[in-house]
Amino acid sequence: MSIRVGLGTSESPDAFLAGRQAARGACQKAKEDFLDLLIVFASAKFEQQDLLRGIKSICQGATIVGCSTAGEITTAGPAKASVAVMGFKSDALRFSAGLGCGLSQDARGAGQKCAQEAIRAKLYKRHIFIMLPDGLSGNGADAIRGAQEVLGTSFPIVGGSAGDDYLFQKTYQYYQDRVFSDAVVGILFGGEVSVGIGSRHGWHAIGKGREVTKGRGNIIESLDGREALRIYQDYFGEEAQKLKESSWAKIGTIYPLGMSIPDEEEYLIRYAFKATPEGSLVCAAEVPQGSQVRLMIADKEGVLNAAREAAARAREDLKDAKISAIIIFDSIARKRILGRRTKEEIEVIKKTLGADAPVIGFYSYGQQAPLRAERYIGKSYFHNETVVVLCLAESDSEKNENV
Amino acid sequence: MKMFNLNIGIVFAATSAIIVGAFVYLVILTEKQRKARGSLQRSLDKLKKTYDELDEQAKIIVKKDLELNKTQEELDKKINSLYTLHKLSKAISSTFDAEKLFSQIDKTFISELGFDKGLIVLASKDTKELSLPVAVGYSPEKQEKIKKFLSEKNTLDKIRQPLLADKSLLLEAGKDELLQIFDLSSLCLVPIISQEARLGLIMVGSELPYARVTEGDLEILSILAGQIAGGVENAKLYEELWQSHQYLEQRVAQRTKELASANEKLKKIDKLKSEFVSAVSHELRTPLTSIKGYAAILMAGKLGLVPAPVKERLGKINKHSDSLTKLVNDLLDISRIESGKVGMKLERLNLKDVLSEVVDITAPQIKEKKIQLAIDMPGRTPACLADKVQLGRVLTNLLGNAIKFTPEKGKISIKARDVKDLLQIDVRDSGIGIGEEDLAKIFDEFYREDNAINQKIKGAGLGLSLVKRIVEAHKGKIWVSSKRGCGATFCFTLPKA
Repeated sequence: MSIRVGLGTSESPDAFLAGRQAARGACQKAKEDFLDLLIVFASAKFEQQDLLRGIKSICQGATIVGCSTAGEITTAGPAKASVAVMGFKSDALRFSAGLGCGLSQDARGAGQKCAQEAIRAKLYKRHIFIMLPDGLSGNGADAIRGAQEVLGTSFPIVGGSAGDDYLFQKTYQYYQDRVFSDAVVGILFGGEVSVGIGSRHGWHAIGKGREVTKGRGNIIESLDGREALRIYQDYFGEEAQKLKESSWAKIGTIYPLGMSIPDEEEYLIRYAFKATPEGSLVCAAEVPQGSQVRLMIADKEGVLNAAREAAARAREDLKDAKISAIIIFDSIARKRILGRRTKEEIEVIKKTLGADAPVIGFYSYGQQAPLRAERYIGKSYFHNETVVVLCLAESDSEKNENV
Repeated sequence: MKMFNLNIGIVFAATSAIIVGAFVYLVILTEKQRKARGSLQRSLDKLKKTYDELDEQAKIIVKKDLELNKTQEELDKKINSLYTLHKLSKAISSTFDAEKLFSQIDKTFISELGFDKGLIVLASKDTKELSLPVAVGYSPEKQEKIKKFLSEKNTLDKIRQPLLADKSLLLEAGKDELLQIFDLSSLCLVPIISQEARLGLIMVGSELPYARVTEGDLEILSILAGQIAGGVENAKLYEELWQSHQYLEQRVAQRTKELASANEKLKKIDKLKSEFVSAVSHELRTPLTSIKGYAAILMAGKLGLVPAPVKERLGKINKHSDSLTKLVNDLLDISRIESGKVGMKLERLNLKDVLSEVVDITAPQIKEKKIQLAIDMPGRTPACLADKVQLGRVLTNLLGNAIKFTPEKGKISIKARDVKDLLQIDVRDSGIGIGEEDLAKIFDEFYREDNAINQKIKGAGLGLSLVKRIVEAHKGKIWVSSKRGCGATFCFTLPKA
């Protein structure tokens, strides 16, 4: 029982060639001519359909899932304007993919549909569901709930929302050889493998708490009875105007809002990526009316420490199992706050895991991961500013039988 | 009944007392509560104040943090750019090739500077034609469009100052057009100017709407433009230098060729000379033999009695004929050896044997002049590879010369020694020596040093020339060291067997 994993990358400007190169690289590294499953993360700058054609031309018959990004992550560290392909070939690992469309119309329904399709294959020993939703449409948290209705509330769901190189215009999801937008793709992993999951952000609350007095879905209309944008005006003065002007205002992403959640060490984060002319804040996911929010702040060390803790938790789950693949769902805000030290985050994760397994991942517009505290019974939530570390390891089947 | 009344009285009094007590207690309690509430309110107010103060402090912290983040980002960018620039400067200073310099400014370089696209435009000095040695992020078609835009209406000439353009800021006239042409949301552009002229421009920019260009970028790009101007200028100078160097090389090659052909001509003439000498010598030998023959017949008295004075003259004819024959033979030998017509019959020889034969022949002269001859040839002297007859001639000549120039009771020594894979033979005499000015010419044909002995003893001046040719035909070397009045040492080498 073994898992063969290979990672291929390409920076070729030609989408078709880039796809071919990366897929060929994955085959070579996995030392296999045919791969069963390909996870693809690529810059949105590529002609997406050509990219998939290129990949397909090397790996016919393989299941393909993936999405566009705001920066790729590979074993070598952070990359941009590139494509990364991780290929799997294994008799131990079982998987099945799913797709849900129309996220903006019915996020919950799309999440349900995606999970239903994936679950249809009736996998032996289901372990984890990876979701890659469009990062610019619909309520990400709702899509997770949809999937939970199918898979069970406590079933672990991880993932990242697709990006588009910070353009905030259109993101893409890959399912087999087709490119979608406003959709969610998912992949269910099962079989004789074990998984380790860890997620942390490292942001801290600062200043007074404020109550969401009016809001719907991911839009906060008023805080403590005043227009929501005032929270940023209070702290940043004139600078807060930028939230109205551009969709990637620094203050909204590196100073997000946090909701305190009982028993959890860290706040649940939502970043406001823009403000409406009326002064409402548009967040990456829902912020329920009545919840208390506070401004969040972070520093480089804290952010790196969070990555270390996330990796340590994933390692804990796996005990001493040999890690075959590392998948990282990172946040664009973390990349921004780390600046020149962005690479260190990936290094710290690799070092903490103590594995030289291939790494794939991307900088996403939102993340999904389960909460740890007991009262949440492993339920997954939508996060921002968070790094999610997922490790796949060969499981020692004999040991399992003894148990 | 009384008892009953008393009891009622007591109950009533007690109840009253309890009621009054309770009332008093209530009054006291209410008062306490009021006080407590007051102090609670005060504490609450205090707490709220502290909370608000903390929030005010949080505002300060957040503002500072934002400032810090901004500075950090700018600093990061600068460090990156400076590091990148440093790498480029090293590359620039190590190359004089403009193409190589531009090849350093590639996609990685531009992205390390923090941009997506980059362009360097150079205008040719004479034709004003534009070239794009660096075009990162632009297709060939787009490059053509940009060239067209820049050459129309002298747009390139109009850009005289560094400029920033950013879509998200208010744009001055013309900047919007630039952003459109270059397909960017922000850009930074600096003209490249050398000491002499305007060479072109360098532009970097980002497609992403949130990327900002700053004055810092402009500073970095200005440094880069300066370096490129320097690099291009250096490359040009180097090119010129190289061109003139090439020209000189060409001239040298041409002259060498001319000299070589002249040399070839000289060689031909020299060969003709040798052939001529050879032919003439050959032709001279026949009549000489006749002269000598007839003189011998006359002297023998076969044609009648010869009176004494005639006989004496005939003897002179005979003697001079002999020396003439020797001269002709030497000449013939020289030209033969020179033309390679005479092959050396190389064989393994014991130098001692050859030398003792030569010494035997010259023994009478040595005895006559009472010269002391020392031969230093150790028993282990290795054999040499030489032509026996020719080696004999060399030794005869050298020993003959030594005897000739050594005064009576003088000293001659012959010494052989091992020098690597050669055998060196030194013939040393204690004669009159050779003047410094003659040392170089002594091996030339027909050269005779002007000294008393040469005036007395006749010779053609061919001996040493012949010796030299024989030694060289053995792949050996011959040289002489001497000082006037201090004797002379002739040394030559031969290959070992």
